[in-house]
Amino acid sequence: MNNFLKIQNLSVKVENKKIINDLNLDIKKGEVHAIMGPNGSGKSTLSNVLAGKSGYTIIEGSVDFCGEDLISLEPNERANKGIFLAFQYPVEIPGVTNINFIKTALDSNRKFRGLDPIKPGDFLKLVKEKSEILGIPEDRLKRQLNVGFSGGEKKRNEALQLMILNPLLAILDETDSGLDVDAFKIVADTINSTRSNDNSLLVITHYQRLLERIKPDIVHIFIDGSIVESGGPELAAEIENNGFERFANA
Amino acid sequence: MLNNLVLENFDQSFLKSPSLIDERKKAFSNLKKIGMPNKKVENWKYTDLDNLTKSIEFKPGIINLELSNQESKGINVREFDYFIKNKAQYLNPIKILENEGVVYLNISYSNEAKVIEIKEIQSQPLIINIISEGPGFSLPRLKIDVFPEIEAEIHLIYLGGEGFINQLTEVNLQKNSKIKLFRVNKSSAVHSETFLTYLDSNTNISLVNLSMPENNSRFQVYNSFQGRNSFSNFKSVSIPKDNCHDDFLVHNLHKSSNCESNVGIRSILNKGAVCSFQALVDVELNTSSSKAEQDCKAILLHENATMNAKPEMKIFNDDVVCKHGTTIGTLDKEQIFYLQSRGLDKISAEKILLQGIIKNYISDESPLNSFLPKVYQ
Amino acid sequence: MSDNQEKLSENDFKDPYEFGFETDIESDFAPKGLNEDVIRFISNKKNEPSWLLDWRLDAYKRWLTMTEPDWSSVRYPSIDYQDSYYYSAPKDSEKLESLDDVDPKLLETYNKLGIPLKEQEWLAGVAVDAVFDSVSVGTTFKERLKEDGVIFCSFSEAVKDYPELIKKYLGSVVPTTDNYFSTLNSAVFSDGSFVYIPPGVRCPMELSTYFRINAAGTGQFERTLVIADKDSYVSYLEGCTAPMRDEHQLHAAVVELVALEGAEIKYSTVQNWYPGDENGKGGVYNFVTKRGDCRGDNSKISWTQVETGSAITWKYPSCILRGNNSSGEFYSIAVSNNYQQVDSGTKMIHLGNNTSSRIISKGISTGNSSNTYRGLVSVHPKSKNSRNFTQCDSLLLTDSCSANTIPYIESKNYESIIEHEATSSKISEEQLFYCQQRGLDEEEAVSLIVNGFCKDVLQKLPMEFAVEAQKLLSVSLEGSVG
Repeated sequence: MNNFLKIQNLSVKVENKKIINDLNLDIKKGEVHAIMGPNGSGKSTLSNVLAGKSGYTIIEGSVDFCGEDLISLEPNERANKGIFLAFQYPVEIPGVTNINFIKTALDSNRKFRGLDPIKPGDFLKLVKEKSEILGIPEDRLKRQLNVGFSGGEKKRNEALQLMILNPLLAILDETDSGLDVDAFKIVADTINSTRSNDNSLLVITHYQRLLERIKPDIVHIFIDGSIVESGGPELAAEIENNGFERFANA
Repeated sequence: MLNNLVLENFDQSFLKSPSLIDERKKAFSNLKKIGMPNKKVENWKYTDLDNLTKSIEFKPGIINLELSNQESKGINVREFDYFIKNKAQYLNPIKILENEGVVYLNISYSNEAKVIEIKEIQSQPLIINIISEGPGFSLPRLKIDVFPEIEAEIHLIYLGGEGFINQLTEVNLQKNSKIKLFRVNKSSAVHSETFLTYLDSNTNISLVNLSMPENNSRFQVYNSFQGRNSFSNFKSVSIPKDNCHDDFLVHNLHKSSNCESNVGIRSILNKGAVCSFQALVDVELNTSSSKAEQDCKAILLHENATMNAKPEMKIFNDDVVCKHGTTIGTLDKEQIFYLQSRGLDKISAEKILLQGIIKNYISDESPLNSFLPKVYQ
Repeated sequence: MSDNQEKLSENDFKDPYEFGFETDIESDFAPKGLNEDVIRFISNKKNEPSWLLDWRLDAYKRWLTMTEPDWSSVRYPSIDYQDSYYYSAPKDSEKLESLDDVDPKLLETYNKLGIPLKEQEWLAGVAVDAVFDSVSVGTTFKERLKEDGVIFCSFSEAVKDYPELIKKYLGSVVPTTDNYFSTLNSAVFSDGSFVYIPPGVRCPMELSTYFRINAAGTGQFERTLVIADKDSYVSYLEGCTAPMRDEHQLHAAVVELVALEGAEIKYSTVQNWYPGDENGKGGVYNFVTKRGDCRGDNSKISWTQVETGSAITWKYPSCILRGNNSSGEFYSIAVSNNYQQVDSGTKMIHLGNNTSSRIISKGISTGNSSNTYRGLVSVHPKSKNSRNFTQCDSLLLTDSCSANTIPYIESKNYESIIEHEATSSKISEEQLFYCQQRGLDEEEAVSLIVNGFCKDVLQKLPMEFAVEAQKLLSVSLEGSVG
């Protein structure tokens, strides 16, 4: 079976500081992986590196996605090939309406796949359907992208984009933070419902609670820029009870 | 005014520094060429200094720079002899500020100078009283040199006086130094001060200025960011006496990367009072990560009060974040009403609101607090 | 020209200047240079009454005593005013009865510009007064407008047909003494548009004029006068595009607006004249004087502009808020790329009581361009309870462009409130990354973010203009990334 996402011996630095240290990670089609680690362990760096943010220097190693070298691609090329990053802190873009942005993104994606822009009617139907599931009121779609959104509203909006763009690999960067209990359930369950044999998820989180709703196949413990232990969901439970101490001292 | 200049009157100051005669003469001929600042000069468009000084006799006024504790450890105070030995230093302001009449005037005839070198960290503030006596032109020169890694606090106090005071002040911040300045201007002379700062890397300058001139006043600041990672913060409270003009100009010249400048003014204007605020952020080519803010708030309390603001940004680079905000108006009627509904009379309500505006800059703990009019303390 | 034609009909944005082509209609020139005889020639060509000739000559004499202003931030080689033609008209310049009589080549030009007259008439309901070079050649919808008593015609026609209105209002907002370029215009203006809306009439359609410079070496000196009588309303659209050429072209238009009691004028401009090439060669010099006078109580004047063209833009559409409760607005987007220089802004002069003004300015600079906002808000001592709000933002896209903000704020009335905010910044890396992460390439991302940045102004434009303006923004910024 072809590799889906394969990270080999990856080391990354930011301004002369090594953040990711000889990382190896294999995600196969249809799998859900969770990465758990304490603050400052380099989790967000990993998601940014996968999505292609500038400012990170790859010292060595490789990242292959569907058999193709990812590192040489622009962020938009990666997105169009099916990598989606649900941001921990989605940025505000004044003046650009939410719905217009989502349509522009979807159409870029379709263009890449050789499809015509989606018909306005179809798009409206799609957006309305997905928003309803996520409990996003219609007027929020007309608002400016993330401008003045609460933390929870931003996260729901990320989930909405995830559902509409329907990526091959979705990276959830602390998607559970900033959500109240009800919103948390809705967002987590909605994302969970997108699971299929064709899509994979990489869930980056602090806490086990998200993993109770999005059950991972494999849990990785991430300390100082590399994976120190991998296992099943029981590993997440252990973290919840005992923290990262055992691994940090390892 | 220049036609009336009687050079002989100033010979004394030449004699004080015979070796600077050529430099002084050159500066004077430049002054004659461009004249004293008037409204045709963009930077002086709100103050006609030429006109204001016309009636003042062009003869040397008596000026004293008094230092509170010049015996302090780590402070060197030097007089005019410093400039006689360092001609380049004497002419340095012309390099930063070309074609400025008041600078040429000071350089041609400056008749009192102090150079203060601060070589050790000071635990006590250094207090400098600038005192002028008698009519005529007083042309003090002050240079403060803060040595590397040094922190200090200086108070500059201008009270009373007559005639025309045209001061030239320089603050040189050497690497990693930090200075806190407090300035009080209650001058009753026509007052003009040109304030130049040179900021080397990792330096920090803050100035809180309480300006309550009893005549027409001009305070012009040029902050020259010459090293990286420096920070300047200039705040002024302007409460000119009735019918007086309080004019500010602050230029932040971002010549180096990673520097941040803040400039702000709070102005309370009564009958016939005019406040002018010209601020410029100048971000030069090839500087990155510059940050700048300009903030101007004026409260007009009388129908004959005027506020002029010209908050200018000149950006030659894309790596900047600059912000500006100005509000000009009278006290918020709704706020007054709210306070009245809580039982305060109108006068007290207004007083509280004005205090609120000033306290942002001059807190109860500030050394400037005691100089504020009682109602604002 | 056939090559050019094909290139353009593709309607693709890769063409460096989409509208750069030249129609080869023979022009009827006044002799080169400027003197009293040339002014007499112009006046004579247009069969003007003697008072107007005298008015022109007065202006010319005044102009001779004036010097070209140097206070703005724009820099250009000195203009030889004697090396230019001050009058040219399409050869076939006798009065035309209908569009069918118009030179087909002319109509073709407009088609290339994407403004087919007929289609536009019928589909958009816009009355089009097309100014080709200096003489109006086709005015439509006149009949419909006539029903309401609206006058919309070329300036020369107005001089003939409505001399009393012209005499009363011409130069009443921008006097012949106003400034170097407007005074020059007063002396040599060739044609332009005239609008009069009678009392109580709401003009039934948007009035639109397409200006266009043609014929090498011809300066264009348009004169526009819009009068909205008591309680009337009019929305006026002005769009510009010019053919490609190497030589700099001087353009010094004057627009005067008069709003009487209770009247409202909305004046929108999309300006995309030839900006010069990537190296700053060529391009139009655009020195425009636009001013509105809110003469009556409760009147309102609103300027909206999208400036993407010209090598040099020098214009400050202003409002004199004379009437009590009058209000003025200025909404502006100015884009500068390559070596373009923009110095633009507004003046809001508050004279009456309870006057209000609002300024929203968005400047975008890229390439090696310079983009200056220059504005004045002045509240006079007798203007009680007046208000101004100003928001002035600059966006810089390259490290070799510049953005200047030079606002003058002068308040002499304590019962008035002025608020001014300004920012200068670049597009943040985070915003770019976010858009790219969703699949947009860098250029699309910049275009999207810039359009968002300009939204407050774009939505002030009439619908059909807004679309064109958005397209223009993207085209103007092309190649600015990286």
